[in-house]
Amino acid sequence: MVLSLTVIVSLLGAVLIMVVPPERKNLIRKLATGAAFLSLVFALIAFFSYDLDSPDQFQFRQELTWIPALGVNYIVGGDGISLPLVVLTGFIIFCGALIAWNIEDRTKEFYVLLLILVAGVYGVFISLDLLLLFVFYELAVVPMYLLIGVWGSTRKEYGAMKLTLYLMVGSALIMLGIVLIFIQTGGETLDLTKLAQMSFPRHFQMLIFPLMFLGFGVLAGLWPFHTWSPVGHVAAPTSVSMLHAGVLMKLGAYGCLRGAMWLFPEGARVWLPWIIILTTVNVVYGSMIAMVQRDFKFVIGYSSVSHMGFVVMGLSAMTELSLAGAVLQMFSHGIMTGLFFAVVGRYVYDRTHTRDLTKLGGLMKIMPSGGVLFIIAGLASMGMPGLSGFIAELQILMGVWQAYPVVAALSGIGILVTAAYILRVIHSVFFGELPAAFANLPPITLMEKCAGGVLAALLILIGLYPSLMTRMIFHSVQPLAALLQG
Amino acid sequence: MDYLTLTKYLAPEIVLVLTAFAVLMLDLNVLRREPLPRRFAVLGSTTLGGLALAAALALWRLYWDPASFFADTFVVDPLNGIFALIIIAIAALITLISLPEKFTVHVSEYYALILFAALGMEFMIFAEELIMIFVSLELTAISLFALTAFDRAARRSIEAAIKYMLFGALSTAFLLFGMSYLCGLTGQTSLAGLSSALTSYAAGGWGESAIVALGVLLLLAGFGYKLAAAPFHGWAPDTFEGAPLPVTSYIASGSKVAAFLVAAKILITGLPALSGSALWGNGEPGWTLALAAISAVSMVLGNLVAILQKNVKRLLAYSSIAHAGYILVGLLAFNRLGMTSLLYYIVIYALTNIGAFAVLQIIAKESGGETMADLAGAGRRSPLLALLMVILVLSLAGVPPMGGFIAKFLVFAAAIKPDAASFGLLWLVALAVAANAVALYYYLLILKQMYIIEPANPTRIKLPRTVTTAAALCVLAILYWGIFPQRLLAQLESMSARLF
Repeated sequence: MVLSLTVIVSLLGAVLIMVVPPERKNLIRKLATGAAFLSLVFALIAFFSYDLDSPDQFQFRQELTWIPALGVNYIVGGDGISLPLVVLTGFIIFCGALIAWNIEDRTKEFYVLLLILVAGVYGVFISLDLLLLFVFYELAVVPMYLLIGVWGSTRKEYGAMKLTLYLMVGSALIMLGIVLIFIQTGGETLDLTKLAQMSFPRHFQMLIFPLMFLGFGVLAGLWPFHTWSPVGHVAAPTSVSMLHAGVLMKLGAYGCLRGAMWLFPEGARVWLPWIIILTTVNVVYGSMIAMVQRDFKFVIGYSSVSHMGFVVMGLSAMTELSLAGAVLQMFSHGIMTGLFFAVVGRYVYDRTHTRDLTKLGGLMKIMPSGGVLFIIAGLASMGMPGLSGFIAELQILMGVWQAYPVVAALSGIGILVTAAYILRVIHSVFFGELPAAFANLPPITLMEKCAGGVLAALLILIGLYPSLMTRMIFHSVQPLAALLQG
Repeated sequence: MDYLTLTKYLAPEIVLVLTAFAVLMLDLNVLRREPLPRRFAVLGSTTLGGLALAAALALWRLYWDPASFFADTFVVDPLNGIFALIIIAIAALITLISLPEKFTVHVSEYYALILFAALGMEFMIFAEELIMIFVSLELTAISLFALTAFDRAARRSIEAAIKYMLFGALSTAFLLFGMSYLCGLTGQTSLAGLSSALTSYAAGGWGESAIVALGVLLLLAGFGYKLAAAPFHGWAPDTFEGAPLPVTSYIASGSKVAAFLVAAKILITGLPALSGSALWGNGEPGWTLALAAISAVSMVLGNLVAILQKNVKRLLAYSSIAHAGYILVGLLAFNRLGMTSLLYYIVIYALTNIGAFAVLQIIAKESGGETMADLAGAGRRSPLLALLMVILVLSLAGVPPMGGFIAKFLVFAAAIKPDAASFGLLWLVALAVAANAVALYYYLLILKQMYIIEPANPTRIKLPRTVTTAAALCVLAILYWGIFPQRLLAQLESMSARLF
């Protein structure tokens, strides 16, 4: 029940806001932030009451009949893979709601869509029924079009359309996959735990695995289907970029894990050695493209492509260590990129109205908090020990090394380039000469500092005390790795 | 069979006829000199009253024992009964959205024709005999031709009606020709008789009997027109664009529902022996193969051409051509799940269309046109209306949790089901899924117009109560049946049991 409450609270928040008159913008903001905070609380309750000694694979399980005619039920539950992501969603939406405080145009519609989107995201992470998961998945993807198209900037219509169409092509593949799975089981069940226990015939797994993996992979930013992602990030308003890079792309990676690898291990063993090549391109090429960008947001956008490449690479290597690293990297990258976009969008762009790296400079003098937060996120992104990114990427690299040493060595280039571009943007935005035009920018508000501070604290917390999460992740990843190793 | 029982079973239809006459007499004797809006309102309310009574009787009829009259010319069973009720509901929604209109002075004739068309659809649904089906198809078609031309001041309305009628006449000829071949060969006109006679024919091999093949193909061509499936869709865009909006809505909903049901019954109960197969690499001549081709062409052509449309009515016309393609997938799956999915799909689809045209009607009244540009800024001008439209459009796009999603899911599942081992119909389903991804583009364009583009004239849109109610009812229904489809699905499934 506690897991369903995250979805219910978000949807309830959306419904409540719908009946508030549109002029009462502050009330709307408070309601949305309140709903987001409550959902975070429920997520944390679930996270901290997860029982590591329990024999159950999924805890907090709840089952309600929904469409018996299709063998589809409302089944939710959480394990060590999904709960960190549920918590991640909670933190990002709470901070995102705070960061979105300055949206004045159609505030009501904005928050309604934001909360619907978040309900979808929570839903995907907790669903244990494939059709339910897909319904939530679409619920998370579709509002994105309006959120970017209406409240975005820089080629927003193009970015919104491109993003939505790419993701919808992905979901078309997934839908085809679900129909095939549905028929293969005799139309009796789409319960993920039951599906995972069925051993599907080999030829079926060969056919279905790429459909599901690539379908979800589009949302994870898998090369060469990633181009929607930087364009969408740049066009989106700040809080939407945070949600989008922070959690939405994780839906894709999570879907790859739950909807493809877990259900079709035999297919995974055949296809993933090829897919890992794509992820290597993601990591290396993504970081190199980030290096040459002039637009501040594009740097972060491509850094997301590169880091998500690490996630999918960790999944594709299929070793216990790399899988656990991938899950932690999803969490770590979600928080880190949320912090990046908060600083880039809200601290810098909303005040200076430019994202051109050549025009920015010396901002450390006027917004030291922004500089410090960005540097913390940047260090996490580089994999600096003491921050969460280090733990995650180390595990991924060690895990990948066990299976594919060449891939691990190549992705080392990605890490080096990452350090280079992060240092480059830190230097050109926060240090050097402060342009005279920026001398009198409005100060950073307390609310903005809070939102950024929470995220930065999380990066440090997980960096110093990783077993808070890794114990639970390993607990769930071990059986999965055993399954995938066959 | 005695006439008293027949009268009892026909009570809802008798009420429809009586209401039509009552409306005509009322206008002639009492309301002739009243102002136009008042006549629309009073006569419309009378029509609504009659429809409500008919609906109540039709609902009651669902609980009576199944019965059959005149050698299957009139078959009352749960399947036919529930769809008769749905037709009455559709006619009521159409009447509801006509209430604030004032495009014609022939008010009573307008409402009477709506009722007569509904009557034709009722008989189409109840009839399981070729001649009766043909007669009721014509009653519907002729009423709709006349309704299309009702906006006499607008040239395009006349043009639309003439195109509709010319295409209709041609398709009638095809249909009648096809029926006459089948009937002449077998000496049967009832679907059950046709089925058994054709089974013995088919035992001798389909290929040997070109006459049967010709008959079936002509029949499909005739129905292809009624369903607006490519390549028989030529009339649809012009007719949709030219007809008064409530009539467009009627053509896109009621007449489609009835035509799909009757086409499914003819093919499934009348011609099962000639089904053939559309499986990849395993095709056999038969109507499923022909339908697969029609369906594939409709989906691709409908969705691609829709992208180019500037007029929302035309866009929805092409979208309806594409949807005819999807629905046909459920039919040519030729199994029980397919029939269930077809029934579910047409109900949801009819409601979605009525809702979308109702919203369009409100916007057209305010902006003076129904092009994409007229939708601009609807999200600012009336948030409620735009929200309704978003839900309707997303349902058409097959996005969960709207009904359109479950409908598509079921149709695709049904098509793959009979041959789960080798996925013989996967080619068609993959095509449908791909076409649907394309379709999303133009549905998003509607969202873009409403929310992203700023309005040229930012006045608030006044919401006429009746039309808004109709649209809201449709939206609630597709949301409810999209999120909780269980009861509807279970009922439709038990009803389609008779056909398999």
